[in-house]
Amino acid sequence: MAAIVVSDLIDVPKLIDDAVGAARNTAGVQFAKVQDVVTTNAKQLAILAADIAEKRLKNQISPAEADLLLELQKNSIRISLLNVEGVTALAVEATINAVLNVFIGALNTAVNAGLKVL
Amino acid sequence: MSHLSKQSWQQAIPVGSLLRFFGCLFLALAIAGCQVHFVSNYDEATDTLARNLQSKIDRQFQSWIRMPAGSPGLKYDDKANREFYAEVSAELSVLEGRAKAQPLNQTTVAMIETIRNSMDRIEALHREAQTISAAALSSVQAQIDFQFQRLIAFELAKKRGETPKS
Repeated sequence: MAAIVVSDLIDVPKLIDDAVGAARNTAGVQFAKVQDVVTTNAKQLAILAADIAEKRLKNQISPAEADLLLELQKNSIRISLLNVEGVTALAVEATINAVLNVFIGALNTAVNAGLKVL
Repeated sequence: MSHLSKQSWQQAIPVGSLLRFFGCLFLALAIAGCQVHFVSNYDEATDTLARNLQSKIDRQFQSWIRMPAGSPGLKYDDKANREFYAEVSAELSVLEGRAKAQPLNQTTVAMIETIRNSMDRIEALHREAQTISAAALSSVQAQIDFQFQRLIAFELAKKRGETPKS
C-alpha cells in the first residue's frame, strides 16, 4: 500500500490506530475474525477525512460542499460498520458450521458400513 | 406469563435446561445435516448491478470534473444531468428490489439505502447550487466509490469458503 500522507489537520496514521484500537476493545475476542476488514476500512476512511479537511482549509470547496462531504463521510462510516457487521455474521456462521461438520463426521463414522445418515 | 419478573424467568428456566436445549438443538441440526445461514447467499445479479451502477456514476463524475468551471454542462438543469440522476435513482431501486427479494439480506439492503441517501444528497446540493466544483466532485467520487466497494466486497464475501480481506 502507498504511504499515507499526513494531513495538516488530521494525523491519518494516528486516526487509523485509534479507530482500529476502538474496534479491538469493543469486539474483544471476536476482533481477530474481522481485523482485516476493520483495518482496511479505517485506513480508507481516514484518508477520506483528511481529503475533506485539506480541501476546506485551502478553500477549494464551498461550505455547502464541505457539509455534503461530511454527510457522505458519515454514510461511508455507516456502510463500513454494516460491512464489519456482515462479515462478523459470516464468521460466526462459518464457526457454527465447522462445529456442525465435526458432529456430522462423527455420526457418519459411527454408523459406518455405507449407511449414511447425512 | 407476561407478569413474571426477570428473576422469575430465571427460576422458571434454569441455565442447565437451556444448555441441554441448545445441546440437543445442535445435535438435531447435525443429524439433519443442516448448515446454519445468518446471511443471504452470494447473488451475481446484485454484484453485476452494483458494479455497473458504480461505473456509470464514475463516468459521469469524471465527465463533470473535466468540464471548465461555469460550463453549461455542469448545470443541474442541463437535460442530460437531470436524466443521469433519474437513471441512477431508477437503477438503485432495481438493485434495492433485488436485494430485498433475497432472504437474510438486511445488511445489503441497508448498504443500498445508504448509497441512495448519498446520491440524494449530492443531487440536492447540485439542484440548489446548480453546479459542483471539481475539487468537491473528486472527493464525492471517492466517497461514493468507497460505499460501492464495501457493498461489492460484502457481496463477494458471501461466497462461502473464502476469507474476506476487505
